[in-house]
Amino acid sequence: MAEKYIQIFKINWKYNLLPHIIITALLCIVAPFIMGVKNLDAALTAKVLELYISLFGIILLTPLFIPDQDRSIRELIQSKRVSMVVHHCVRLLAAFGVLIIAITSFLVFLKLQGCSFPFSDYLYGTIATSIFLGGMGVFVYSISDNLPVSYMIPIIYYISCYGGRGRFLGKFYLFTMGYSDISIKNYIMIAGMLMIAIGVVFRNIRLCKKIK
Amino acid sequence: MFVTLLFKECKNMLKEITYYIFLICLLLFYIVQMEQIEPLVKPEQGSLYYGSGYSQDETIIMNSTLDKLLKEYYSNSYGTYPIGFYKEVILSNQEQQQVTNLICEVTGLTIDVLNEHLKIYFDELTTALSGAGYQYKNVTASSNIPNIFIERSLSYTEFQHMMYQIDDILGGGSSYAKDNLKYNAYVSLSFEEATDNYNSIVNDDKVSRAYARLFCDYMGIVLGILPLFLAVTRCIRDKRSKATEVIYSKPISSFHIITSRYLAIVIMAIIPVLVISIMPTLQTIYNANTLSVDVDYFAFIKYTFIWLFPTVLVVTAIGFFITELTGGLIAILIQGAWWFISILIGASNFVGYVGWNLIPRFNNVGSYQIFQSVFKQLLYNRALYLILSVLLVFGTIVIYGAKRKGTFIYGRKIHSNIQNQLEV
Repeated sequence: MAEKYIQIFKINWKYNLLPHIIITALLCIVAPFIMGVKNLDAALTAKVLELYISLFGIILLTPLFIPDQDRSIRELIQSKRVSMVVHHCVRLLAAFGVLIIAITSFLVFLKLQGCSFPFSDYLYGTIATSIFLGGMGVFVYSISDNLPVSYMIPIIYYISCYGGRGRFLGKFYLFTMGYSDISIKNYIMIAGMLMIAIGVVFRNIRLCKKIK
Repeated sequence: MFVTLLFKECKNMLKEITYYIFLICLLLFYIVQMEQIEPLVKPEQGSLYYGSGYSQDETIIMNSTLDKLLKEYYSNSYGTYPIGFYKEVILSNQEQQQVTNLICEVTGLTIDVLNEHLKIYFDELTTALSGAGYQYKNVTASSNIPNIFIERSLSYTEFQHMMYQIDDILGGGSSYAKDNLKYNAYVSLSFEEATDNYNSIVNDDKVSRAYARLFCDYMGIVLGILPLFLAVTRCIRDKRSKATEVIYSKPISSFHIITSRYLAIVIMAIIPVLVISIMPTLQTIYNANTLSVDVDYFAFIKYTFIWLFPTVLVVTAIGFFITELTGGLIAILIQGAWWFISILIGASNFVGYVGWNLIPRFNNVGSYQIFQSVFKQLLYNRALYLILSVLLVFGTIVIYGAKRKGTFIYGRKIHSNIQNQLEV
C-alpha cells in the first residue's frame, strides 16, 4: 500500500515539485548577496523572514493542482483506484516538508551568522505566514481553476501589506513578527490551514461532479 | 481587420475573471494608499509645526551626514541598503583606516584628536543611556557630536566627493551614496521653508502635478505586476481551450494576432487607471479653487502616459514573450522577482529614486527641485522600457510565427526541430 504513496510522491517530486524546489533553493542561495544576514537583531530578522522567506509558501503550495490541470491527465488519475484526494494530500505533504526544511535551514543559517532572535517563535511565525499565502493560492486555484489568478491573489495580498498600509487587516496583517506577540500568528496559521483544506475538498467535489 | 480583432479582444477581456480581479485590486490599492493624502494648506505664521522635510541647506546636509558617519564609524557598523534590505557592513582594519583618513580630511582633525573626542562623547552617551535619564551634560542620543565640525575651507562638492569614496568602500547603498546624502537631513520645516514648499507646489507644480507624481508612485507599484496576469491568462487561454491549432490555421498574420491581443490588454489596463485618476483630479481642482490658485487640469493624464504607460507596456510584453517562449507560467516568477527587486531597490529612497528602475519612486507631495533633478533620467528610463516593450512584442511575434510554422515547439530547440523535419 505504502508503495503507491511513494510512487505518487516520486512522480510529483519529479514532474511538479522539483522546479519549484529549485527556485526556492536559488532564492535561499542568493539571499546573503542581496540582504544583510549577519548580526541582525530580532526586528531586522523578522523583516527578512516575513518579506522574503514567506514568499516560499506561494512558490511551493500554490501549484498544488497543476498536474491535474490538463484534462487528459486528470481523467487518467481519476480512472485509477487511488482517490484524487490521496494524490492531493501526498502532494501537500511533500510541499509542506520542503517548506519546513527550507525555512528551518534558513533560520539555522541566520543563527550561525550571529543573528539574535527567538528561534522557535520565528520558525512558527514564518511557517504560518508562508502557509497563509500558499493556502490563499490553493484556495483561489480551487475555486477559479485559473493558475495565474491563484498566484495573483496572494501576491496582491502581500502588496497590500507592504509598506505598513495594510494594518487595517488587523490580525491578518502579514508583517507582525517584529513588534507583536507571536500568538497573533495563530490566526493566519489557522486561516491558511483552513483555506488549504477547503481548497482541496472543493476541488475534489468539483472534479467528482465533472466526471459524473 | 486589425481593428475588428482588437475590438473583439477587448470584448473578450470583459469576460475574463482575471480582468475583474485586476480592476478590484487597482481600485482597492488606490483607496488604501491614497486615502490619507492631505489637501494643500497655506502655512500660517505662528503655528507650532510646519511639517517635516528634507533640508536643501548644504551645511545642514553636511553636518547631519558627518554626525551619522561618526556614529557608524565608531562602532564599525555601517547600515546599507543595497537592494532595500538592511545590510550591516563591518570594515576590515585597512578599510576602516581609509575611512578614518577621509574623516580626518573632512574635519581637519588628526587621528588621535578625533578618536579622543569620539571616546569622550560615546563614554558620556553610554553613561547617559544607562543612567536615570537620556540627558547627561550636553549629550543626548540624537545630538551632534561636540568638538567635531566640518573643516571650514571644505566645499560641498569636496565633501560629496569624500562621501562617495566612503560609499565605495562600503560597497554602495549606504547613507553616503550620491543620491542618499540629502536624506540624512530630515528636519522640521521652518515657516519660511514651509512657505517656499507651498509656493513651489502652487507655482511650479500648479497643485495637481505634485499630487499626480504621488499618484504615479503608488499606481506604479501595482502596475509593475498586475498587467502580467492579464497577459499570461491571455497567452494560455488558447492552450487551455485547445484552440491553438485552429487559430494557427487561420489566414491572418501572426503580427495581427499578437499586436491585437497585446494592445487590447494595454488599452484595457490603462483605461481604469485614467478613470481612477479622475477622483484625485477633481480633488486637486477643488483644493486649488479653495486656495484661489491656478491648476493644471490635465496633469494626471499627462503623468499617467509618461510615467505609468511604459510600465504597463513592458510588463505586458514580458508576460507575452516569456509565456509564448516557454508555454508555462514561468513569466509570473520572473516578473515577480523583477518587481520584488525593483520595489526593494526603490525602498532605499522613496523620493526621487529613478535610475533604470522599473518602478520609479516619488513618494512625496512637492519636492519640485528633486523632481527637476531626476526628470531627465525619468524620461530616459521610460524611453528604455518603451523600446524594450517594442522589442519584446516583436520577439513574441517571431516566436508565435515559428510555432505556427512548426519550427518551434516547447521544450525543443528550434535547430534540432528543423533538423528532425529535414530528416523526415
